Amino acid sequence: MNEFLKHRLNINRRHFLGKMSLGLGSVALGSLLMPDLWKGEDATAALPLGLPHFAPKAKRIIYLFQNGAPSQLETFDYKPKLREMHGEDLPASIRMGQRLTGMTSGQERFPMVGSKFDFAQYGENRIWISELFPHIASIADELCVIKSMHTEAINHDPALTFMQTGAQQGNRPSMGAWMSYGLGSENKNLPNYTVLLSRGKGNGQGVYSKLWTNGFLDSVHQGIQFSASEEAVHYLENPAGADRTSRRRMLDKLAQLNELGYQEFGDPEIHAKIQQYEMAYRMQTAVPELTDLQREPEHIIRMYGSECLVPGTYAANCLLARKLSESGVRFVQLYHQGWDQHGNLVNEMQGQAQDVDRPTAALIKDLKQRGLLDETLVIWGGEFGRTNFCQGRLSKDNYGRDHHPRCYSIFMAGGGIQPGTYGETDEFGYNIVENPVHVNDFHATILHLMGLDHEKLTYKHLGRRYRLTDVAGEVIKDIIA
Amino acid sequence: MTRLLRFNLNLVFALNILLAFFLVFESMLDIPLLLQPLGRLHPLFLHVPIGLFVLLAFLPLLKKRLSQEVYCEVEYFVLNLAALSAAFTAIMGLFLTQEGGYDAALLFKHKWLGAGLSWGAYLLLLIHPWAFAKKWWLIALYGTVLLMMRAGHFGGNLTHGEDYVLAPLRAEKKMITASSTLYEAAIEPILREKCMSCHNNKKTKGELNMATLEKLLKGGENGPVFVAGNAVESPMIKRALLPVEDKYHMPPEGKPQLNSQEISLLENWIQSGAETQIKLQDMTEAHPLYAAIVPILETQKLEETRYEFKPAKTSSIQDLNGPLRTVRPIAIGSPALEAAIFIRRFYEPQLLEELSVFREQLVRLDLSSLPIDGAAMPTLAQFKNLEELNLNNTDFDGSGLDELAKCQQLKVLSLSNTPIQMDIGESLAKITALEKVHLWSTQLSASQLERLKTSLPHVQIETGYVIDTSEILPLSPPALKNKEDVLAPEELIVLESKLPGAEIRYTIDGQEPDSLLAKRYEEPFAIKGPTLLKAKLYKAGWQSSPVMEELLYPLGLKPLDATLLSNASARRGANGAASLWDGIKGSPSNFNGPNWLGYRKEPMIATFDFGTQAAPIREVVISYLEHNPAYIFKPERIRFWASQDQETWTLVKEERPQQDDESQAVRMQFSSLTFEPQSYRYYKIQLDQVARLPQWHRATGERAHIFVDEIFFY
Repeated sequence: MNEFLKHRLNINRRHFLGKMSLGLGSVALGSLLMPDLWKGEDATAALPLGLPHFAPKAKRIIYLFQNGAPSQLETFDYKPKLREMHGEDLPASIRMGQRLTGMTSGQERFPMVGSKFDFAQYGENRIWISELFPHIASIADELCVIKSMHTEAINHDPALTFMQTGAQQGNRPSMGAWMSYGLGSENKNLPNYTVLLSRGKGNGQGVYSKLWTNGFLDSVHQGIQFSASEEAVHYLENPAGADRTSRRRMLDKLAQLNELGYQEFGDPEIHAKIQQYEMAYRMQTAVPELTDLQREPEHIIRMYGSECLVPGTYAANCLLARKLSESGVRFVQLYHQGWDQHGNLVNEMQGQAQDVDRPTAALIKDLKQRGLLDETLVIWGGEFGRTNFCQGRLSKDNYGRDHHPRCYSIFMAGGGIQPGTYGETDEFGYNIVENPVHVNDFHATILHLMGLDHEKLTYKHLGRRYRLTDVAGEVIKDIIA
Repeated sequence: MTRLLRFNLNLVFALNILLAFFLVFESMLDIPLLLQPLGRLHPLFLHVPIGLFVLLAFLPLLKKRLSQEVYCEVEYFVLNLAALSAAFTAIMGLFLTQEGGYDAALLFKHKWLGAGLSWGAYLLLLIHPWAFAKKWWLIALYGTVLLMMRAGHFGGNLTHGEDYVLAPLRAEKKMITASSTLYEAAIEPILREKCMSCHNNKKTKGELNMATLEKLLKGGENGPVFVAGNAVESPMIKRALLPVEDKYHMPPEGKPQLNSQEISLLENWIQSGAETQIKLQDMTEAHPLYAAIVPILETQKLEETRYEFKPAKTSSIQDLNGPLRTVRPIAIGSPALEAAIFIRRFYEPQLLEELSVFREQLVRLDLSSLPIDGAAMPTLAQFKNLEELNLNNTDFDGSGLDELAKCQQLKVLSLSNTPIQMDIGESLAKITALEKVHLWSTQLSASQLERLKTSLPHVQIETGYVIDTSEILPLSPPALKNKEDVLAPEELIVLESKLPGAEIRYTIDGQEPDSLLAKRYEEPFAIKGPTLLKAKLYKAGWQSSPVMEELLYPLGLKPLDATLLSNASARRGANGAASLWDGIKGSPSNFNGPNWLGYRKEPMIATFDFGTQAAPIREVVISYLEHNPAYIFKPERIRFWASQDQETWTLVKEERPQQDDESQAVRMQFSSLTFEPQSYRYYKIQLDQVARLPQWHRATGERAHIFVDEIFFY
């Protein structure tokens, strides 16, 4: 090294620090003009939790899940062509190699079947609705029927899981859990996410608690199931001999112990547990107020039908859903089982329709007259559609339909939805010809209505950020009012 | 050098005289075309004197480092250059003013200050050798520098507008809301950014002023800037589309240009008729500009910027949150708050009153289902930006509603399910912003509601759906509240219907319960022995319910032990003999359950030991299943023996149950054997299957199953 350079480098500590501070000072000054410089992450990566990203159209959701997949061809997707071609084979040019389930793959023929039920147009938007749903038809002006839903799964469990969690495998948080995570609580005395089950007489498919799981989110976001028994929420009551004061004291001590555990292990689930105990304590007051259906006036009971007083029925769950939603529960998930009509479709669908028609319409009307429909999004629909051809024997009065993922119909009402019909299927009711809505799009749209950007509502787990819509999904602006 | 300086002194003098001459005869000045570029160099050249005057201001710092002689020479030299450039600049500026289009008052100030500076500099130059050492010299020098700054300031105002420097700090952008007009939201911002720096109140190039809509419509020296409905013929579009180098291109070369999106938006706007008054909220998808405004709406973030008030302190929001009350911003970054109070039992007025710290920010308030009445109205009236108020299911009777007139922003008022009886039309009319009122299920009469609707035509009044009471709906059957089919000792039968005013009729003799003869359920009742309970619900105006049927058994005497003497079918062994007297009935839908003992090859034989202190027994009840398609039939024969020693058995009773006709149903059945009271220690029961299924059965001739879940001793 030459002497000159040595000399230049030979600065003492004081000089070095002096120069350094001057340099740092100017860097600091410069950084004042670049507020994002020190954040480390790009500004879009994380937003504060528990608040909508923008002013929402809807504050709450009631999802009336029709488990088993009701046939679109007997409910909202009117296809006169199928009646004309009743019994003729489905052209291969329409089927285009669509896979079959194991239940129809052995069939030699795929005779098309027209709906046994007649259709008519209702309301300002002339929405086609079948005779199975006279009450739903009476509120046609509130409905946005999407006839072009499509999914990726062809069997119940993956399709249902996909619909509820955005993935077919069942290890992701469900919609309600994402809402709870993204929007926070409105009423801290009730869970953000509740689940109500009912069962019709039709061929049923199971529902499992994985459908209302919190997945990798904190367990405070999981769905709480309300049961049909006298005790709506299991293990909520104090045990015999314990009163509220002693329960309070017990919980306080328990929380202290849990806090010690947290300090030692740092597991966030311990905090979730403390919060759950607190929630349960508050629910002891809030839940009995809610589940007391006796205070409902008779005209309400007439709207929903007298079954609404029988716990565990779809009607009772609709009424309870209104009460939960009215009290600030963000996401009320109903499942009505019995819509899997592989055979005996004509009889079973009548029974199922009878279960849900009146209470569904009543729920929407009831929300409306309380001024809640504007801020509550009601969704009705199943996990996929049903084939336009017959499964099993096609008799004069009866037939069955197999699973069909390429198109199905759902409807939404209230909460910023533009009433009308969206999307169109071909005249065979087999393929979508206009405005397809993938399950990811459906999720993106619902999150948007709730004031959440589906691309920004993320949770980092196992090294990557997850979304309800994973890596896809477009908000369907056309159905937003 | 000295000669050069002397020459310069003269040149400056000449230029200043020229300047004075031009100023005096300004009105007659006619700048030849060749000199116009000289005028346009004014904004460039003026920086030279500014730099030199600033240098002059700092020169005295060198005073102590240099000998007085040297310093004097340096200062004189710089002053020379400054005075020369000042004179040149002033003359060039004067040329530029001839092009016109500047705010006259500002121009007047700038012009005379500029000329004054030039003369002042010449004066300083002139007296420098003499005044240099005087005490007031510095004062004179700095005075001139100040004069330069003042002149420059007005010059800047002329070209950039008066608040150019501070504008970013004052930025009071117009709030774009859904009720803004298309012009305000989409057109004006473009004009403001790209056109108004030359076409404003101060500076009206081409006599065109775009600062307000009226002035824009008036146009400039060449007439209107656009022809509504004809974009092609509109000067504004024409000029924007000319090549940038073209003399008539706008904005002029060197100024920020319109981008293609902005041009097409202006073009579409003019082509579609240049509507100035249409509001964003009234624009439908059919509107030709709808697609263009969507991104604008999104970037403007309509909802979030719509509130002008300041956000509340985060800490005070946190303080007021709790289980009974929620307060939260309506969205991230929004100053507006929404609040709700919960749990009727725990409500105190304080919960509401404390919210008044947010009297500006609160826009939504949910007080539904709380014991709130008119007394709360003055508190509510404080929330001057409240937009939505929910008073559903409260005790509010309408008194004090007048107070809400103070909530000038209140748009949605929910009063459903309240005891309102009084006319509220006048009070509602005072809430000027009101758009929607929910009045379902109040005490208001139909005529009152009708009057309300006519008196408030601009308000949507939701009165709910009219229930068709003439429709006869079916009732649901009453519910049996007993948890088990086997009743505990002293347990009474409890029936329930949650429908007020409904009547439960029941029978325990197998008859259909009708509305006249069947017993009316008033209170819980006891049963003796196994009972087939049938109950139905009746209510006027409703169709009676289907029958609720349940087979109930009082818990019998318990044996000390029981033994099975024959083998149950494979996998049908349940929990052995204990299953027969555990008081738990089997379920008709699950034959595999742990409560069913099934027999096919062997008859069922069981003995029961009641010990030495056995109470007398007068009845035995055997509960079994019947499901013909699954070969499960009633027993063909039932035999009942008694014994003291298990050696000699006395046949007490034998019975052959009546087999039913063809049936698909799954039914819980029982046989009751009654006899004179017996006091023995041991009893034995044998059930024999139907050996051959009847003719009508599809497996006729085969052996039947029996399925037993419970045996009761009374």
